[in-house]
Amino acid sequence: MIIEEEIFGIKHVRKFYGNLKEEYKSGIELIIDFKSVKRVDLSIVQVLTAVVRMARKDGRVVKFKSLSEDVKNQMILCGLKI
Amino acid sequence: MGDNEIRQAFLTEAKEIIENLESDIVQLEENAGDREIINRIFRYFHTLKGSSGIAGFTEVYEFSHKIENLLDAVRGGKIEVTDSLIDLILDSMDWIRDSIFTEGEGDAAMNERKSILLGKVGEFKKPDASVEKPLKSEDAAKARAAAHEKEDAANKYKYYRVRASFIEKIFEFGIDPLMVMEDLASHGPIIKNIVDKQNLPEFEGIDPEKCYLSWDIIIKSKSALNQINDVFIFVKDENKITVEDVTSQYMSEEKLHAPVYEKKLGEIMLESGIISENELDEAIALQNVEGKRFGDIIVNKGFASEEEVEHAIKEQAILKKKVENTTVRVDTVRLDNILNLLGEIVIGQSSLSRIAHEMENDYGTQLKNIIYGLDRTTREFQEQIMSIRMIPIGPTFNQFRRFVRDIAHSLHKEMKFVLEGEETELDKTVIERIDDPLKHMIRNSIDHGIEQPEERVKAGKDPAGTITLKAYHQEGNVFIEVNDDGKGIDEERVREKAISMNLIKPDEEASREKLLSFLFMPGFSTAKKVGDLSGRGVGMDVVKTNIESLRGSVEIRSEKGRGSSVKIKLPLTLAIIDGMLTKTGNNTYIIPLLSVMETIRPAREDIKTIEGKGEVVSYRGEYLSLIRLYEIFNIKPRYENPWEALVVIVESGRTKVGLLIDDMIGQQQIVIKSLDNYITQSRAVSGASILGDGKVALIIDIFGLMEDVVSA
Amino acid sequence: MGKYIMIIDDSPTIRISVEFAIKNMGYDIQQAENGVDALEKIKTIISKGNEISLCISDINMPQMDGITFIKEFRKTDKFTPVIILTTESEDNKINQGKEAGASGWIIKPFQPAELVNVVKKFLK
Ligand SMILES: [Mg+2]
Repeated sequence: MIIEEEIFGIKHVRKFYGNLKEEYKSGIELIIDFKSVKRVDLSIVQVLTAVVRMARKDGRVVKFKSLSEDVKNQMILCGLKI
Repeated sequence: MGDNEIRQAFLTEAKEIIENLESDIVQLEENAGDREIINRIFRYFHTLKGSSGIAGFTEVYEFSHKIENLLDAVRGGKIEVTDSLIDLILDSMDWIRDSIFTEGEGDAAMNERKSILLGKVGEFKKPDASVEKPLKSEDAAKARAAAHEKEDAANKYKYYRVRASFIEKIFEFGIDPLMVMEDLASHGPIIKNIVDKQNLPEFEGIDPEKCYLSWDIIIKSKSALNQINDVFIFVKDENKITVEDVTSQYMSEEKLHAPVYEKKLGEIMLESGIISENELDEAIALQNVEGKRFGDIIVNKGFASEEEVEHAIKEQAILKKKVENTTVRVDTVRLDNILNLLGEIVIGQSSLSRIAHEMENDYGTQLKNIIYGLDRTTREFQEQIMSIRMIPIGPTFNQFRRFVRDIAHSLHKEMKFVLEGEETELDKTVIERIDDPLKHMIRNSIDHGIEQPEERVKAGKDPAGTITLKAYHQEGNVFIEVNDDGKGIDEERVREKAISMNLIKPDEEASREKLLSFLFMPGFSTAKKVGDLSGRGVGMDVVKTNIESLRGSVEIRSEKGRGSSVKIKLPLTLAIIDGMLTKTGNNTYIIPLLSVMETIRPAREDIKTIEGKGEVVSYRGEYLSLIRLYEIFNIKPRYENPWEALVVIVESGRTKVGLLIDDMIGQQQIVIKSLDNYITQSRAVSGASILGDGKVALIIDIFGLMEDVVSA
Repeated sequence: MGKYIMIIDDSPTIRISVEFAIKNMGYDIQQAENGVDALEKIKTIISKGNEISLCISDINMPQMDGITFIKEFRKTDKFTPVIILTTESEDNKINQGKEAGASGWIIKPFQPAELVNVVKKFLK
């Protein structure tokens, strides 16, 4: 899954959540590509935290690709390990 | 686009507003009750105010603010629309127009017009009209001044604990909590970040547009508390945000996260981001089931490398060591706060015990018993806290070694320096302030007490003189002695000096004690030739004043040819005194018990007025100045005649006076409250305390009172 | 696709000052004179495939005041931040604004830097 938004946040989170649900169900390996993303907001980080949690329980892996330093720091601030 | 353009825009806008205003005001004259028109006029002034402020027309801004306030009252029906009101609005509009377009700001004639108009505005406002809000510019100036002070005080790192939990719907206010937390993080490094994810539902059940996370953060920052609070300015009301300055807890060393508890390996790895929360949970679960070592599980599961685990184990060992010899350093201000709070508890208890005494049934007795027990605990608590404030005097004593050596050297004398009771503890504040007086006395001893080596040998003494500093506790006080084995004080010559200064009559018999006490008189020891006669040099009076300001006392003893000894008595603490509670008028005054000699009810004939001395009371054959407390504090007493009231004989130094009070209430330990927030009108007050009934009682400073009265 | 900041105030002086302060933040700017004007312009902007990133709105305006504007705006846009411009004589407006869905506020008169600081709390 490639994220197209530069500022990826609350206005996109519902759609993102829906897509993520679909992709997770399909059973393929989840790779989220952040190469265009300059910022995320808390709503996005929350969804990511929840999906990582679920994947771990199910013995699956979620991969974050091309995270910028800024976004990485945002995630760390929210306690999401990357 | 720039300032000029803004100004230009304002001129255009102002012109338009004033034209509209003019026609509306005329219309108002015809339809005095038309609310629509009043609202419009209000809005014009409101807009003018906003725009003029932005465009830099300060006077117009301030002026229209006043008119706006007036119109707001009109709008709210508090002021009626009359011809004179309409005139005032028209005139005000004219003034604004002239200010902007013709005369400019700051013109003298314009200023006069303005003050006339504002005078009229004032007349319209009823006295009970709500208080006018200060203009933002005034607030801002105050804030700036405060910020400056802060800046000066700051420039040091502080530690803040920030807890932030947001309402679920926060995104619907256009606010992203993460942005707020990033704003916070921009103030400095985050030392500890605990993100609470407990409220985050399972992925399937999540509402992605709601907020679930909350934070508990320790941040190290040079920013002031209000700057940290400002981060949350737009969210603080609706969300749970707390910011605490926890600097004192983190002060100990730059090694900040000096933990006060032992850390588990998992915690360390979690905090340094090596493993995630979930991995931690999983590893703990496995540990419980399989009974393997935590580190092994982490490595086996691939959560972390072996090196990472080893590193964490090392860190754990370091932390553990730190815990073992961790002593918590506490700012004395915090101790003072605790003591103050304890004072409040004591006050509460005394209120309770008053109630208990008034209750006549069994409950009263039960309550009394409980309170007795509580009193004991509180007293012990107090002692424990006091003991935290206590530090040994050793380091202070030791620093005098060099001092003694240097002075002896410069005077070509040989000195031995002996310390006794270095482990004696006393209040930190006292120790800090005892330094100078001690130095003073030591210098005097070496300079004037100790003889030259050859002289000492002649007298059969060791050529090297000895100074002994000695500290010990006795009866709830601390004593410090400075002893020397020098030549002692020549009483005969002190006597001569006292006679020449008219302190005693030539034929008067004076005890040795009395003679030596003259050394503390201002001007006595500093007078000519006294240095060599008395063996005490400069400014013993200064020493005495210093000691007395610590609520201590000082006395000198001396034996001719064998040396002298200065003995200082100090209270264990400055935070608590034994006080005598007295009543005058409706007020309670506390007199430090230390100064009280006796309380008497004088006979009518004991009160006299003596020329040069004023009103006096006869006490044991002496005439003491009578100070009427109610005059000092300018209040109305119950009794004006001393023979109906009471006189407390108090003493400071060698001076005694009588204090006229209405009545005596009793004695008790008093926790002194700082008077920082009071403006003390005289030196007669040294502090305050809060009594059982919640009233504030002033603590009389006897020394200051005497000085005040004498100099008045 | 453009990202817009709306400046809504009946005073041209204020509108210009606000625009002056924030024009270098990388957003397109659209001014409006009151709530009605703003809603219309927002509609147009969106219909052209652009988006609103922030609104900066006065409270006291003819035709449609700021509070009403925010309520109307929130009917179609739940998440875009709205900063209200207010004066010290109307502090109850801040609460009314918050209830309507405002995100932050700034008190007039202000320095350009103050405004930028507030805007930066919502746009990065
Ligand atoms: Mg307006």
